Amino acid sequence: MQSNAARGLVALAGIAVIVIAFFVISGSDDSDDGGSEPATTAATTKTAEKGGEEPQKEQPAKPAAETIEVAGGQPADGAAELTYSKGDQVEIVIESDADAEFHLHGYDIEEEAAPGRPAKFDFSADIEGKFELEDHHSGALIAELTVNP
Amino acid sequence: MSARRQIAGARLAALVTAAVLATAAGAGALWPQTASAHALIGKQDLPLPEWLFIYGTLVILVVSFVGLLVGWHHPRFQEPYERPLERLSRVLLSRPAQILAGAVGVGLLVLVVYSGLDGTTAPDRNFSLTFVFVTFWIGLPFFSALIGDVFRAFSPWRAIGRSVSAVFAKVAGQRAPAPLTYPERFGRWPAVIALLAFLFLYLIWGQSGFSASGLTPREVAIATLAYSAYTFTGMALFGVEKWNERGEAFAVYFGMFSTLAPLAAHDGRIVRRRWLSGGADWALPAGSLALVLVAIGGTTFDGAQEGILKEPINSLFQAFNDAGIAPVTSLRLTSLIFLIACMLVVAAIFWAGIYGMRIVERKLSARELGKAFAHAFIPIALAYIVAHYFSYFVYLEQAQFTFLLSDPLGTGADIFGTAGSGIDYGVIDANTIWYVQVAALVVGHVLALVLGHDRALKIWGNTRDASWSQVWMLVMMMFFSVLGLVLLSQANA
Repeated sequence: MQSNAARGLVALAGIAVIVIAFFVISGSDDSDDGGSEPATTAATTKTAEKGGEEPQKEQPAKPAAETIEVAGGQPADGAAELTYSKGDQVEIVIESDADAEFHLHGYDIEEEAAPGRPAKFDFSADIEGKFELEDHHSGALIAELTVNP
Repeated sequence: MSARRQIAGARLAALVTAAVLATAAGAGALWPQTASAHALIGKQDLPLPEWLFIYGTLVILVVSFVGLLVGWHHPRFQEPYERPLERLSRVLLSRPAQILAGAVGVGLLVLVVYSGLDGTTAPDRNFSLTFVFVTFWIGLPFFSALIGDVFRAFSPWRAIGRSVSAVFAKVAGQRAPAPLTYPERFGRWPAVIALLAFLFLYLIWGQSGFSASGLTPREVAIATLAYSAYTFTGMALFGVEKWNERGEAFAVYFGMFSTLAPLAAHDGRIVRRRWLSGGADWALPAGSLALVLVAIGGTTFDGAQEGILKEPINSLFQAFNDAGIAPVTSLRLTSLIFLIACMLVVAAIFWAGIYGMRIVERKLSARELGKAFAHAFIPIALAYIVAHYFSYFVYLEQAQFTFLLSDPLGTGADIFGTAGSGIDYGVIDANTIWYVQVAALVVGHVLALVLGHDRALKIWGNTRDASWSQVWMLVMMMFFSVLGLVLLSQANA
């Protein structure tokens, strides 16, 4: 590149490509907010919400309640992988064959379970990210929750 | 007292102190602590969405291509062009300021050890863990790169070393005599080795996997004491400043990042220099290139173990476990093997690039080329740190200044009245995190390109050979930057 004008043009062209590509590539993705994985749980009933905090979002879905069986401090079918969207009302029921305490990290929710009395997690998925739900005593991973934007 | 006796006396004092600290560390180690199952925070970043990964790669490609075409013709960052800042120097480098900064550093060191030994065993409620592995380890590289080598002012080991020298000089009535000459052929290798030991502690020993073997506060305190003992020994043998420049892992590590910054201090003055120019001669001592590659390799492993290496790690762990080795040991062994593998892969990529350059241009040897371009990869190392730890840093600094500051031991105190607040995960959402991660890698790549191009100009002038050699360098840098994107998009895949 000899002249400054030529250099300037190339730089400008580069910037143009970068800006245009942003809109093309991000726009070509058809989910709501940037290519998050689709929720694997079926969105069934939509509860009447107290008032949408995010104007562009639909009313938060209430995915079906998940039931997990825990035997001997370990999940019966291996660690569950649960996926939600931000704002979903999450319901998880954990049946345990012994007294246990389950902790959902990040949200910092603890629920107790006993034989015949399952632990019930019922909360709004307000924080995006990946969270571990574990058995407090054995430290075993019961479920991994993903909350997408 | 004769000069020889004085040398012996000073060294003896330092070595005795070091021995006492080491014994304290050993004694502390004899009383094991069980780790609580909780890591420092309960949330992990979502992987980069596919479109953003593609976009990031595209930007890196475009930026590299444009960089090649519009690159300037004369080196701009090979000389620091320093201008002294007199007034700032008088204030910030005055003796009271130096004493204050040193005192802050020592105070924090003492607090880390005290809270580690005496505070709660819950890692997330103990001051020591968050301070060492977040505020210190993640915060300082970034601030050093932005401002300058601030750690040098606050380093507790340097402060204590200098204080001891000063006290000794007063007591003995004359300056402490010259220490042993540091063997320069070792260069920065002692710091590299100490840094590897720290990475071992952080990434391997403190593996908080599903078997709940996180690092305990007590282990942190013991490691701090042991490291202090080692550092004081080094300072006693080779002199405070020399050891600080070659052997003290953190001073060297943070100093590496500070070569990017516009401010520097030497000869008792703060100078303003051209941004990015501090690295021009930085890589001359042996082991400097290794330091950059270790920095990149360590962060690569930390990102990969959550994503692309998760299955292989699991398989190897199972293999060891089935062979009869205890779960925690199996996990540590597996992690160690993969950490070493990551380091070797990073080094291999770098040397492949260097040998590629040599195909085109045979003026310099491979070793000389490696040393010449090492500093250009410092921005990439910094970008890796920002990309992987940005959200972690934002969340845990909230903890650092709220309940960890007011209640460092986790006993229920409330010294500054902030113990009630906690971490608000809502301050940054997933999209913000993603954009910052990609931006960090792109910016790091651009800075690396700038430094690489500038160095190529110095070596070859504006010749055709310079352009071809640069293409190889460019490909290497693109590889690392895109690898950074890959690691982010595969996190917990």
